[in-house]
Amino acid sequence: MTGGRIGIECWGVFLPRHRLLRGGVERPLAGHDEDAVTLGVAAARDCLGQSEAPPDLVLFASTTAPYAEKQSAALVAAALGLPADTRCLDIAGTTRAGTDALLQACTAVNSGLARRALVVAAEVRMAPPGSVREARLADASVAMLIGPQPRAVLCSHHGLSESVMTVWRTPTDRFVRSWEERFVTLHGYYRPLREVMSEALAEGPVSRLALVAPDVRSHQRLVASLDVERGGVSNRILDQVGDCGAAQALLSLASTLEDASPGEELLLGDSGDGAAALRLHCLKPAGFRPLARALARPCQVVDVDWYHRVRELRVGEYPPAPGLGISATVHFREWREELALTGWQCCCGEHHFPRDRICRRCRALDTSTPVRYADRGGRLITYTHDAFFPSPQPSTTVGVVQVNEGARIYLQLADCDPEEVELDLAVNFSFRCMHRVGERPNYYWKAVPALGEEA
Amino acid sequence: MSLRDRAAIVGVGCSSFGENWDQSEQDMIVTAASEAMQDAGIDDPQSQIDAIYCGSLYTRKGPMEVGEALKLYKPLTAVSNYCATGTEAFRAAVMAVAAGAHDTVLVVGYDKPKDRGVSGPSVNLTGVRDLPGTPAAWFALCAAPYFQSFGAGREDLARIAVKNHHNGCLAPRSFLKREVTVEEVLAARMISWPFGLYDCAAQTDGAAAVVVTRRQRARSYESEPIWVKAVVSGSAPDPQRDPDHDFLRWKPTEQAARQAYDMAGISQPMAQIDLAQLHDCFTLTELLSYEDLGFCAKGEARHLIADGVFELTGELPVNTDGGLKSFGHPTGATGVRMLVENVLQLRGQAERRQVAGEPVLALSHNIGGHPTGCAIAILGRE
Repeated sequence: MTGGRIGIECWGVFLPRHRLLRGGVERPLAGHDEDAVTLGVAAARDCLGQSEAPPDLVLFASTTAPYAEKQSAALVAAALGLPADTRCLDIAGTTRAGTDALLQACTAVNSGLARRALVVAAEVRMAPPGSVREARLADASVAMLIGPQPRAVLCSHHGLSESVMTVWRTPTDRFVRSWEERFVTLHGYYRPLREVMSEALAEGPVSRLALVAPDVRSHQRLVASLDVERGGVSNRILDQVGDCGAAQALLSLASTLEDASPGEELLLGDSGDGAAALRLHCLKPAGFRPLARALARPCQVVDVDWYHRVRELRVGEYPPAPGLGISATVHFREWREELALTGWQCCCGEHHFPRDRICRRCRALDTSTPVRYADRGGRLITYTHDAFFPSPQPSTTVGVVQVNEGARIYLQLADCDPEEVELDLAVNFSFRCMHRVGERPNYYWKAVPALGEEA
Repeated sequence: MSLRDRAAIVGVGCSSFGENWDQSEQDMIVTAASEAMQDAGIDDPQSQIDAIYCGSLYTRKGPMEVGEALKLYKPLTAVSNYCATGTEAFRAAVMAVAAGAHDTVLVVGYDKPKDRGVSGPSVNLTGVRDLPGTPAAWFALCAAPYFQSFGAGREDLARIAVKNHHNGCLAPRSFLKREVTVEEVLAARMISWPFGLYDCAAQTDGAAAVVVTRRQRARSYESEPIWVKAVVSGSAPDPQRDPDHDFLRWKPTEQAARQAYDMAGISQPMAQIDLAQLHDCFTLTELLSYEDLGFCAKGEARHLIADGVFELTGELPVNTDGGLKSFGHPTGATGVRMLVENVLQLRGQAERRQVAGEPVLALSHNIGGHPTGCAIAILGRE
């Protein structure tokens, strides 16, 4: 398909910090301040940290976008501080969305529509509480930068589309619905995926396979039916993460790429309303291991009660009365500051956040220019643990953060135990859902302890 | 213009502070204002009161609440400056009589937070920044740096709560009338570290009122009026954004104290001031105020607390009626309630909580916002 050398330049991975033992695996699950967009932003930042060249196209793939009407890709682009002329596109409706987005990104770059495309696949899927499917689900995100200086090029693709009622959700369903499991496994997974994989393998052998599956057994059964060397097949995502929907295929691909050597042929297989297979050729060694790094990060083991609280699955108090929420006109004035964590620097050097028209240091009027703080990190000047503020996980740690070469900002802390919070703590910034006032997610940034793991 | 000795308080009144389920704002306003005018010997307010200064942070209808309640249709001025609102309304009144705009005016501070259906301050989620927006979290931000710098801890704060609970037991109109121990204070549930429940002021309804008149009229009301020695307002950058803040102090208090002592002619506050009502919204706020007001050097407060200096029988009794801790904090009422207590103490009318030695100078202090504003009043006998 591809005439030029378009492919994957680099990638990033994010796994939420909380781990719940499900089906024998400690699976990463999003907390109360995380959703598919915040997870996606984290993976995208991890990915762009490997690259000097910014994307001019952002594709967001998920079946759990927080808004039915309002573009997630634009929200991700805003949080990344990308320029306003960045094109944005959401791909949704099927767990195959991640692979479809990767294919569309390659097509866009190949055709000249974009110079570099960022594919972000993120998922926070829920199955009926207590169901077999729930035990397999995990939350994760992955981002890949597609461009002309690839580590792996896309060689060919095979796909088929079907509309069989296997798994589905209507706009009002919170949980994945499905038909009888043996039917779903056969006609929603095994048969269509085997068909496209066989087509792709007919082009020649591959040494590595990145393959989605609803569970380990289905994965093994499909691999056994294909003509591939077992050594190049990994169960790593299912073994250590779980079924993470639209993020699973690209996460498997990231896992495969991190181990691949130059010259190897790779095959990616994805399923959902049909199936897709992508052949890739590895050109350069990865040189970085975002998935391995994400898996090695410290995590916090939580219990089912935690899950029920943060996902509001527990019958509790009456929910708060619906309100209009945050003024959309105020948000219109502040969204760049808020979504991209943009501070301001006066010509005298003094920093401000939020924007001040008059500089507190030199008193000059309207002399500040915007500066992105999100990637600068900072340190904690002071803090408290507020048990009074309503939260599914009290207490809420809050403090004044000195942004490195920036202003001071009053921020909540996330992903930390109160005991590990101390004065002068080094922190990074993480894009989070602050609350759902107005019955919609409202995003801003929190400080998280820096883990001292510079790439 | 210095306001020193240009105005006097000639009447004080105060409602009971508490969960006043059966009283409206107007009921409490009538109680406090009637008592103040009666105390001043005003029997014809229509001719004797020239204007009304109203302090309320959560007002529902604005200053007409006061005019309508008292059926006193005089020039109304509404004043608001966060938790300093009460003292600020008084400051506006003193400036008006000092300027000669009015002869005698009524100051009414009041608030009725208990009608809002929340047991603490309301948590208002109208933005995504500045959260959690709870006063306990704002005022707790000095704790970690202060504790680390000076070796203080929660026990030092607890002694302040124990003192104020004790004093509150002696004040007829206080809300909490219950002695507590240091152990109880330390064991209470956490609100915002290091503040447990007993480190926080109660939330109550209340109203307080004072009658202010200009110098030349004062003796026509009282043979020994209580004079305004100073009333000032301080302001400082939002500490959450201030790039130079050390979180060992609250700058608005330091700034207001300099102005207040300058106006009142005080050079040695610890030696010259006989008692003080300080803004103990949280125990740490009272502790920092000892230092920010110059009662002792920065970092020394815990030693003076341990020595009992600020207890009712100590060298400089603080919060003689139990403070915000025992009265609660109906925001606009608090500063005026402090003036009422200082007047009663200076007159020798504070009954079981009367400080010894015929006090001459009494200070009251409000601080509010993040905190960003502070108002101080110093009253004295001739």
